[in-house]
Amino acid sequence: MNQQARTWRRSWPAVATLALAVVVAPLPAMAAEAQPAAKPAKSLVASAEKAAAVAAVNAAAAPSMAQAGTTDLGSSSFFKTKAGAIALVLVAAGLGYTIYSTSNDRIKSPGKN
Amino acid sequence: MKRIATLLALLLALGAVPASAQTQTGTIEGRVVDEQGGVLPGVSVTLTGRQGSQSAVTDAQGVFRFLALNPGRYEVKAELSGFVPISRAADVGIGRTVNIPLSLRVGVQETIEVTADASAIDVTSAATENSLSQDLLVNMPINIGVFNSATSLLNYAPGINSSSGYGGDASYGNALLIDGVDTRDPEGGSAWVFFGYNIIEEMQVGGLGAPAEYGGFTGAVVNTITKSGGNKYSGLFEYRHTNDGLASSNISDENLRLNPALGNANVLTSLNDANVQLGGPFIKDKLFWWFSAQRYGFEADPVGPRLKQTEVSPRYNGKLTWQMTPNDTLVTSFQYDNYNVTGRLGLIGASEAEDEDTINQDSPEAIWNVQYRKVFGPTAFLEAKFTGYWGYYYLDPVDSTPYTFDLDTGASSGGAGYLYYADRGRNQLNVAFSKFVDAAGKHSFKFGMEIERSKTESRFEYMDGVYFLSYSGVPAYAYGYSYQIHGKNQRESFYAQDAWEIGSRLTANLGVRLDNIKGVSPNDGDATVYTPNLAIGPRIGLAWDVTGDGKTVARGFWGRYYEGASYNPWQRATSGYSDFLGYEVINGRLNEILRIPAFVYGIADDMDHLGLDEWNVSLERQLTKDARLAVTWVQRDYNNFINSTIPGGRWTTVNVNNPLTNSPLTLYRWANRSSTETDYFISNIDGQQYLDPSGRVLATADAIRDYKALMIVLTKSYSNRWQGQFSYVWSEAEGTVSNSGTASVTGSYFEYPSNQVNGFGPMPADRTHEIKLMGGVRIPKVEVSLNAYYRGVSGLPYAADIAVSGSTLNRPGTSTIFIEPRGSRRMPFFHQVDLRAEKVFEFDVHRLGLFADVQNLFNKDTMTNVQTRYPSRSISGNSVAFGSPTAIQGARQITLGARWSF
Repeated sequence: MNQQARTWRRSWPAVATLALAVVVAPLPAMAAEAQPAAKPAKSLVASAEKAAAVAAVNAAAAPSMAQAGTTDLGSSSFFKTKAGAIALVLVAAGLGYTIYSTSNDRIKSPGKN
Repeated sequence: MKRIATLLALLLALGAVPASAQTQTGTIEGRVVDEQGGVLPGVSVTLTGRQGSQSAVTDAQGVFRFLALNPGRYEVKAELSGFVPISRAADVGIGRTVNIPLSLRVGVQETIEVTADASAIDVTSAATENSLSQDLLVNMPINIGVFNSATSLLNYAPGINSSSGYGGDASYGNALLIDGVDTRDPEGGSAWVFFGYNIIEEMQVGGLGAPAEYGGFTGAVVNTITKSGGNKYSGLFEYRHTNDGLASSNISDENLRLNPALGNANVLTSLNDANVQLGGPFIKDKLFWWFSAQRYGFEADPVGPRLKQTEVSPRYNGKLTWQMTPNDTLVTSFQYDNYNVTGRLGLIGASEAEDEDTINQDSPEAIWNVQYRKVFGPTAFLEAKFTGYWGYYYLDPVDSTPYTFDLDTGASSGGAGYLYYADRGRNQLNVAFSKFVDAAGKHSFKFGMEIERSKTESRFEYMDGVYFLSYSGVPAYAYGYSYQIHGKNQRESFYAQDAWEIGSRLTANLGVRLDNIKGVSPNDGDATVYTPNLAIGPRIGLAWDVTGDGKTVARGFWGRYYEGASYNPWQRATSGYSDFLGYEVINGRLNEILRIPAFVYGIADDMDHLGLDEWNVSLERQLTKDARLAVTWVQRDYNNFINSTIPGGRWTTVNVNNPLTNSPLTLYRWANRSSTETDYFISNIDGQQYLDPSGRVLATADAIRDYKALMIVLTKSYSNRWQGQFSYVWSEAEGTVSNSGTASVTGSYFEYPSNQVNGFGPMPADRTHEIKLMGGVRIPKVEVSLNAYYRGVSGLPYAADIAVSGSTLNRPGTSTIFIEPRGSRRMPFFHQVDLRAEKVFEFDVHRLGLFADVQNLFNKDTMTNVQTRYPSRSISGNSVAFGSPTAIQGARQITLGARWSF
């Protein structure tokens, strides 16, 4: 087995786990927020038809798109939902990781000592 | 009205109205009529964006206007009793005026009539620009290099390659603005602030036909607006990863045979990029927040013996928007980041450097922006902002052993050889006042002033003060010098401009910009060293709504632009440099044999700042509601190049053999070096003469660069599940002053006439043909989004050269001399296809994407750099022939990512 293949084998589980975690973790939470009456397949198609790419990433940018979902993104009660809670956890994790990196990965020049 | 105009002119003249440049907002205006075309006064018009709603009532001419709008998508709704309400969507771009004509029909209807989006074409502006919207940024397989710098995104715009914008100096010539903050290095003009592309709301890449409020560039303007919070909470969580297991190799046996030092493919061995963003309201309709935290880190195995190059960059961005009243807005934003880099090259080149021969880099930086906007009704508004930038950039060698070059073997040893410490800072105050006036047509005046104070400190020294030359491993000579230099740039700029609508279809864009630039040297008692003449930049443009329906515009423009304030042009006219010392090495001890006393370059009192004249014509047509086509012809004539010469120098001719033709090549030898050795002088060098000892003219400095281009851009915004942008650019950038860096304002090219032999030709960043194609489609049912970017460009020009010793020309150092006209040859045509495939899940307001980016899909191995020494050069002990590759494009690499947004 060559070096490249070994590296791939080494990293693939991590990548797959991460991808799975990202997929699996938010989906049930999001699904739980959806209206029970909505049929997932139909809803998928319907929202996809409406969604411009930009609006999909930042739905709040487009007034018309803001009406598309049932979750109220205009209220802080959003953070009491599962999706909102996950968002807060991810923010805390991401911010914490960045703060940790700011001190831990710092290359400090002797010229600043 | 006359009184207001007079007052504004007076304020401008007195400098009492500091005014802004590089606007960050746009305008929506329109006229409401009935079905017969009669104007409708008193119509209630409501504008709704993500930060709430505002209302206006049409005036006696049926006109409404919303000023100082953040870029983004808006909905305009018009209502009048007895008429059916109507609504229309519009995308507001940076500095754009969106015209929305609305026609109300009589009737009573509960539902609102929704009409097509407003035209994306501004028929009142003579400027040609391209914007990279979130649609493209979010979906395209953006490859912005190892620094992941969004400033590199300008290379995705038509007409810009290798960071050279429309013939301008690569990096140095571009204005780089983030939320209105000038982020360029005040010494050399390059990008010093790095950030991820997904914090961008909109990036406007322009500079062609730019009005007077835009200044301080001779390349392109990159005006970047970051995201803001709104009434709805929004979030983005993204993670990207790659490693060497996801990379291919594209080093062919043939390329390895030509240059064994190519070694291995240039790939990322590891990339971990995590980004979280959240924004929303503190107080609905009043106070909004948004922030981003990103931890970007990669490891690469670069070409050559180096095994590792790394960067870890934690980055923070934030923005607070306070809508104090319907007419008062305060915006504050900041960025802090620190890019920590290992594996940078020092004196030992890529072909030889081992990991311990490299340099570590410590470089934190911060930018800040406080902006206040005041709207005075529908016809006037004021923008004032205070912005700043702070950062340092320290390079330390891993191994502090002095560098040694062996004259017998051509091999290098020791460490990277030097340290370099750079500190930078800038504060800027900009204020602008805009006024719409109905008198002899419609006028859109804008007056402004900018005050800039920036500083630069740089320290350089060789390790132990010297570098060595050896014979077969035995040190024979040592040389060294150092510097610690300071500079302060001072700039005050004033501008006035008007978009004057003459009749209903013709708009004249008139303006003038004045830049008063000074350079102050703290090392010389704060003496004002650089005093170029006042830079006067007139701008004259015409925009003609050809069809009268706002869908076709013909433009013509002529204008003069000047470069921003930087230290490079006058750096060598400041003190802080040490003597240049030479030693003989005897039994390991240094015995001084040469001392060239430190000297300060003279500098002309009467000189002009680097600038250019530009004229362009363009035709832009809205083809469908989503598609537009623009055809532009542009010509730029660069002038006022600044460089150094030796006015007292006298030259004699000397012939060397041209190995390409085996015929004599006439060069110039410094005849009176001993008496003029410190007689360097900085000025506008075009036309400077090189004399022989009798005073006869031997040669004349011909400092020129011209750029011309035909650009065809077809844009289709996202609808019906697909979007795309196709562009073709034919261009020609030729002259004698390189556009690959800072040669327009510094360097030794014009000091010695031999340098200019065969010096005219295509510029280093010249690409005759350029095709850029961005396209994306969302496949129904499977909800997979496929997006591709193709870039095909002519290979870069090059020419054969030889090294001529200092003793032959009686000058310091070795000269590289072209032995055929500059740019006689070109590297092969460059093709690359990048692909992004994304599986999209949408639930309620949430969007989840799992994506894979493939850079260099077909694993092409086109040469991107070439060995130019004729007939060959020794690289890592191998003889590499002229024309062989010294770098090739990056190998195919897959990056995996996941993102969730709402």
